Amino acid sequence: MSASHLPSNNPFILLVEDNYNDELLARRAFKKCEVTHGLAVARDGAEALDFLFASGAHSQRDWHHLPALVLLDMKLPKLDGLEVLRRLRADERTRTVPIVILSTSNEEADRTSSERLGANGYLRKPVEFSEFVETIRQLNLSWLQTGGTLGSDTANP
Amino acid sequence: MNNDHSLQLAPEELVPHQNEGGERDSWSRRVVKSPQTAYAVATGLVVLATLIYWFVNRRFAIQTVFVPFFVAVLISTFVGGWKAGVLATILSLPGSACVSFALDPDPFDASYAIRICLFVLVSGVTIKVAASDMIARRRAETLVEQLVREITRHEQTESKLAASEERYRSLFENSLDAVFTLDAEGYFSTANPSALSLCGYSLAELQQMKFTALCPVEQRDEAARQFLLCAQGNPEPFFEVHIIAKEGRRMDLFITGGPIKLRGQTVGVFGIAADITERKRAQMHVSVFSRLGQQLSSVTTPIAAGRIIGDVAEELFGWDSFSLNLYSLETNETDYVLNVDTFDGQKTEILPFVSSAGIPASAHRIMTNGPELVMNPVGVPCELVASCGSMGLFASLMYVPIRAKEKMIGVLAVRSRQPDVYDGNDLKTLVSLADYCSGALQRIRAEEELHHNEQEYRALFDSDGSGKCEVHPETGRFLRANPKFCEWTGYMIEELREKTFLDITYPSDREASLQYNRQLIRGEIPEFRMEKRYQRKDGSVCWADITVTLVRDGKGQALRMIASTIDITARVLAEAALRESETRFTSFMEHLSAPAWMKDLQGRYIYVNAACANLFDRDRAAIIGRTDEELLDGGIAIIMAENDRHALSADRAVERLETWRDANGSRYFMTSRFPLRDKHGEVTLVAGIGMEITERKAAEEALLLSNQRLGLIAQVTNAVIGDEPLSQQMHTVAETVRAAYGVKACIIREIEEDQMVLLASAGVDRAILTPSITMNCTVGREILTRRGPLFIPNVQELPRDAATRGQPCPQKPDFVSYAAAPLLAQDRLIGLVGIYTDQRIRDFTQMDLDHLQIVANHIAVAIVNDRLYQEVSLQKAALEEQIRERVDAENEVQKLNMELESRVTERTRQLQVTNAELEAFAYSVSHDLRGPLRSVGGFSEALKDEYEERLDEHGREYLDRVMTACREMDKLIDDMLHLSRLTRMDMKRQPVNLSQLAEGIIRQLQESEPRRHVTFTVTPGIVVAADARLMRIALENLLNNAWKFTRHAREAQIEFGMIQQTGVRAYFVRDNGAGFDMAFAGKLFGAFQRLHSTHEFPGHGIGLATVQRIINRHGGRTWATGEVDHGASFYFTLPQ
Repeated sequence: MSASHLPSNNPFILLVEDNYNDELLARRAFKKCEVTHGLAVARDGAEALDFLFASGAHSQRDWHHLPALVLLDMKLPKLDGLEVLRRLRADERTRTVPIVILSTSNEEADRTSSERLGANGYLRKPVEFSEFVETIRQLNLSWLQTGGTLGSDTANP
Repeated sequence: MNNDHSLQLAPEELVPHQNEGGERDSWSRRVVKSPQTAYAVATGLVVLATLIYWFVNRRFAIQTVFVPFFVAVLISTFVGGWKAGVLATILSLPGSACVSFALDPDPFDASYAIRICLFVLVSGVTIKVAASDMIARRRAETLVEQLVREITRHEQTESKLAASEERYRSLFENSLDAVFTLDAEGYFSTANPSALSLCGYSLAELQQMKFTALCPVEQRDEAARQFLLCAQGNPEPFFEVHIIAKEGRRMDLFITGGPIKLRGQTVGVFGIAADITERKRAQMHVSVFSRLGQQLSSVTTPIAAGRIIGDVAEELFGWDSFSLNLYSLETNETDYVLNVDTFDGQKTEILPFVSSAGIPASAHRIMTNGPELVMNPVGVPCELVASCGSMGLFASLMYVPIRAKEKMIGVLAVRSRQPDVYDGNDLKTLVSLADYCSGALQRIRAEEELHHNEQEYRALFDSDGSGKCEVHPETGRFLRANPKFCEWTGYMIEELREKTFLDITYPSDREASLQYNRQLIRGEIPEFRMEKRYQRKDGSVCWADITVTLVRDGKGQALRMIASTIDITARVLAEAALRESETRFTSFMEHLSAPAWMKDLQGRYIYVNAACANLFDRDRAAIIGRTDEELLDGGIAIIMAENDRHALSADRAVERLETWRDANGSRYFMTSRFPLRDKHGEVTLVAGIGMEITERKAAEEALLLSNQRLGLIAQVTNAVIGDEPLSQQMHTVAETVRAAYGVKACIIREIEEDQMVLLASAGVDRAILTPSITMNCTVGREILTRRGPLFIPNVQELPRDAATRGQPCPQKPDFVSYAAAPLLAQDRLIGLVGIYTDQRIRDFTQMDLDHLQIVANHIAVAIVNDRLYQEVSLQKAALEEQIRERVDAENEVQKLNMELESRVTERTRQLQVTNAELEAFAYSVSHDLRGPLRSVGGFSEALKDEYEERLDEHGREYLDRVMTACREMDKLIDDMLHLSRLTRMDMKRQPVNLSQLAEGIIRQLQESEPRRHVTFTVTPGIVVAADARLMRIALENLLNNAWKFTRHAREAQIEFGMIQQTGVRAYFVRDNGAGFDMAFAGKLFGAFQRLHSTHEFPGHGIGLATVQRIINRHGGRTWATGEVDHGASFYFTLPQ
């Protein structure tokens, strides 16, 4: 929705999130953590795929312009987060795109399956906002700033 | 003789020598003899003439006077011949010239020259004349001298020759040496008397013989060669030759010879011979004996020595037969060593003809009388020869005894078929040989003995069956040990050398052994012998009979101890065994109830056992050494002696039935008599044992009967176990019993109520028997009281009971003796069996009754069985009915079970569905409830963050509450999810050490709050089969609770342990904390149930619910006990 507004060359983050409240909170957290990247948002899994593969509504987009990070909510309408993850990892173009799963659940099964499907990290969405901000800050420092690998340890709440 | 060399007869000396002749003593001849003298005379005369001339010339002035010169020439010529004359003439010329010149300054006038010439002329003539005369005279003189000299010399030669010839002849004839000459062909030409006597031939005979003919055939060529050498003038004209004289005597000659030359031509040979036979013999003896000594020193057997002696004798004097035999005068034994005879010129060792006559007489004679030289010109056989098996006749014999240390031990004999070949010297030589022989034989014997001794020693040491060892006297160390000793002690010789004898001596024998050794070394005892024990290498102990001797050197210093040990372990053991055996034997014999005895071959008792002594009814001492005859009455004694003899002759055990009579009457014995042998197998004793059979016959009969009865019982048993009806069985039994006892009848009755009801009978018509008799009769009462067999000799004598009397008895059988036995079943009288005789009384023995009782018992069993069978048959029907009902019931149950199962399955399925739903619910809760919650929390914070200043105090407080509630709810959701997850987790049972688990958790708790002081008690080693992860959660919850609720306790105590309740193990966590009211115990384990305020103890009430769920999942149970402010105990069980 807002992805098309992005300057084509700037580094950006793709947030796949259906809950508008969460999106707002995430934006606020980015802001608080002074994340300079642009933010593209997809509302569901299908849109996320369209956006990344430049198909459907996003067919005019250049697919080469990949996000620096994809924050993928696990529970999404249409295609859920794990399915999106699976497809992105199955495609040559998006195989190496850094993907961090966002989830409300603290289920071990969710964590292991996302890791198995090739997610670079797993972030639990805490109820405590300050906690979330702290997580994003660490994400920003360790990943977006340095370009390093997001270890599962840092992603651990 | 030795200067023969100088006496050569040179033929040239016979010719006169020329150097003989007389010298003339004339002066002139002497002068003439020297030509220089003549010239000196001439010169002197001339000088004299010159002087005279000079004197005359001066005094008389006569110048022409040459007379002095002329006279000088004349004299010179006369004296020295013409040469001297010429010299004088020539010398006269300068002399006259010098004189003339000295007196006359011009001397050389014509007259002088004429005078000179004239002088020379006259001188010349004079000289000529003088010289011719002198030559002629001298020639004549020489001729005469020669003639005279010839004659003189001839005369001298003649006389010398005559003297030489005389001298030579006398020498030739009288020389002690044998001188002879040979002609060129070698024939004797002359020989002096010595030579003739030497060879024994006359000169005439000799002159027909060649020199070589005297030599033995084999030496002739050599002699001829020597002869030739002599003829050629050998520079060393000596040689030795062996000749055979006319009488066959042999001799050795030393010959010096040379050629005889006549006018330079060798015409023969002369020789001077010296008889060196003796010397030669002496030389030969020396060399032979020295060689003999050597040879004999190395021989090892008498026969070898004999051969050498024989060879030497052959060499020394030759023989045809040689024998060396040893005899012993003391024992009259003969030892033939060597006998050699000549057959067809061949020396052959013959086996002596062994005669049993002992030593031949001649040998005996010689050994007694000494050497003997026998010359039998006709050659007669002699014993010695005959004993040697020789068939020849001997003409010359020499016998010499062989002596050893003044004792004659044998005879050495040499014989020849030639007559007179031996002489006294030979005999002496043979004596020497015999001495040599004796020496050799003694040496051989000594060596043999030594060898034998050595061997014996070695054999003794190594293998005489005894162990031997040598021990150092001071250290006690083993020096040597023979294989037997090694084998015996189990040690290797090398090991033994490292040990002392004490090391292997059994400890308790060491002191005694040492004591003996000391005595031995001190010389107090020459040797000792003891029985001691050795400890073998393997630790076992063995007995040895040991004899120890001490070997000392010349100075008496102890060198070594030699111990000879004989293994007597077996003996010692055997002795012990023997003693034991004897004890056992005696003990056995003494306790033997049968009489046993031993007698020697004379029939004297040497042993009787107690039973035997009892039988004799005498003291044992009174029996031993006596015979049966002395002890018993005649008849029995004779039979016994007969039986003994029989056993001895049969040489085996002989069994006899013997009768013994004593005060108690006759007794019968079955005896077994047998010979006894000693260890050599000799029969030395006869032993016997008797078995009294007096009572046996009766016993035999009893046995027979018993067998019959046993047969009866077997029959009865067979009858009662058949499947016929009882009455039939009883009938068979009754028949059997009747037959077995040989009685008239057998009746079996059964007791019903108080009646004896007829059950079966045999031998009697059933119709005549009373069917039922009251128990109150005599028999009935007896049976009832005795409960044992009953015997009535005569039933006829029984009083007729009133009860019996009343019985209808159509026809009374005439029974006499009666025996009965009760039928008892578990001590209950159920009937009786009776047997009857008819016509006569029979005495039923106790045994009969006993058997009858046995039969009765069988019958009782059969009856009881029958009754039981009846009963069982009834019950069986009832049982079958019951079983049928039960099968129906079981079917019903099965059906119900099946229904139940399907219900359970259905329920399970439903539960599974519910579970799945629950899971889905829980999952959605975690997501869907959290979403809004997150928004509430997030935006509340945003609100607080950005608009806090705008809110008043109340607003801020409300906002905080919202946020707190939000966090609370998040936690609740987490707990709820956690709980639900426990239900779904996979479970893996494995051994879990709960004690260790608890300790780990406790450590964590203490680390979380180090300031708190809580006493933990954990029972160690509690291991269960459970899921480790779940058990950790459960224990964490329980211990956390305990930790939490003891927060306010003063001396907090937490315990984890285990109790055993009715065989079930319960594990507990106990604390002394806040506790709880047991009224609410039921709510404890419910989820989200709390008994304390959050304010008091924080928590969500999910911990115990979690514990319960975990324990339930394991199939266990949880419960709790507690009291407010007095702590709580939480128990759980886990299936084993």
